[in-house]
Amino acid sequence: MATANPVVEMPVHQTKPTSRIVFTQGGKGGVGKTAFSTLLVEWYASKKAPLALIDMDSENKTRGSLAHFFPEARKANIQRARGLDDFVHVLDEGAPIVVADMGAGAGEVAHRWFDSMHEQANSNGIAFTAIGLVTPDPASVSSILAWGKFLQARVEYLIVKNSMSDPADFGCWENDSEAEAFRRVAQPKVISMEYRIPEIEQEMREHGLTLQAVAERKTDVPALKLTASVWRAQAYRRNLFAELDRVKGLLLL
Amino acid sequence: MNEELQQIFDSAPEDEPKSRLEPYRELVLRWRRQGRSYRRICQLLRDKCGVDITYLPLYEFVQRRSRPRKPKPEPEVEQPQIPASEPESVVRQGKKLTAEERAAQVEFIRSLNQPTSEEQPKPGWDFDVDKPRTIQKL
Repeated sequence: MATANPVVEMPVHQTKPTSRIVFTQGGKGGVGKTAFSTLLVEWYASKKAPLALIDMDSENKTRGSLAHFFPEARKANIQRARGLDDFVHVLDEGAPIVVADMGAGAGEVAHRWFDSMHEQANSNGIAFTAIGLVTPDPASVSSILAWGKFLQARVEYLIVKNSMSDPADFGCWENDSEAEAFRRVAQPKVISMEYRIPEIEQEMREHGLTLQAVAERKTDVPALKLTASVWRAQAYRRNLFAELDRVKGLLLL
Repeated sequence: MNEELQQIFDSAPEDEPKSRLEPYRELVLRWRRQGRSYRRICQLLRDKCGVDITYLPLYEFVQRRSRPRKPKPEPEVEQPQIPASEPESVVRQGKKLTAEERAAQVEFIRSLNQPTSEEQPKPGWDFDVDKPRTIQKL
C-alpha cells in the first residue's frame, strides 16, 4: 500500500550556550566603545560573574584602551591573519564569558573571521553579542548597519544610545529608514547611556580609573574626590546597571 | 604539658574529615544561599563533583555547618581546593580552569540570568500648563 511521505518536522533544540563572547563593533572611532566596555566589565564584576577581557584596540595603545583601565586584559592585535582567534584562545582557558573591545576599523578582519569560524564556534556552544554604539553622529549609525550586513543573524545585537551631548539627538537612528529596517530584521535590544560630564570622563581616562574607583573614593585625583563627582559616578553606575539588567539575557548564559 | 605527652599529641594522625561533604562545604552553602533546593544540590554534587549523597545527610550537613562555629584553639587545617563558583578575581588571564571549575562557573552565570519580577514604577505626575483646567466644587 502506498503511503504518503510523512512530513517530519524536526524539533528545534534551543540549547543554552556554554560560552558567550560580547564584543563592541569596531567601526566608527570615538563613539564611546571603551567607555561602555569598562562599565560593562564593572556590571559583570558587581554580579561576581567570572569573565576574561580582550583589548583589541590597537589604536589607543597606552591611554584610553581597555587594558589601561583593566591591566588584566589580554592585549591582542586584530590586524593579523589569524583574525579573532584570540576569542578562542581565551575561551580555551575556560572563561565562560569574554568581553572584547575592538578598535576602529576592525571590520574586514572580523568579517573574514566570522565567515570561516562562526559555524565552528556555534557548534561548540558559543554565542555572540555584538554591541553597537549610536551617537548623534550619523556615521555611527552607518557603521552599525554595515556591521549588521555581514554579521547577519550570527550574533545577537545590543545597541547603546550614547548621549555624548546634552541634549542628545538620536534622530539619525530613530528616523532613518535603513536603521528602521535593521531594527525590524535584527531586533536588537536598545539601552541608553546617559550624558557624562566631560571633566569627569577626561580625568578618568587620563588616570585609567573606572567609575567604581571614583564611586568608592579610591582615587587621589582632586577633581574626582569631590563629593559631587563621587555621587555622579554612583548615579552613572546605578543607571547604566539598571539598563544592563534589562538586557542581561544578551550578556549572560 | 610534659614532653612525653607532647610527643604523643604531635604524633597522633589528624582525623579524617567527619563528612565527605566537608571538602565541598563552601560550595554547598553558597548554593543554599542562592536558593537551590537540597534535591538540586544532591544532583549537582553527583554530576559535578562525583559525590553521591541523599537528601537527609545533606540537609543535616547544611544545618550543622550553617550554625556559627566555636573558635578553635588550634590553627585551622588547610581546606582542600573546591571548584570556584564565585572567584575572588573577576578578571583573570592565563589561568586554565578545570572542567569542574568551568562547569560551576557556567552554572553560576546561568543562575544570574533568572528572570526577576520587575517592579512597577510609581505613576509619575504629569502636568500640561496649556491645558484648560476644570474646578470642581468639593
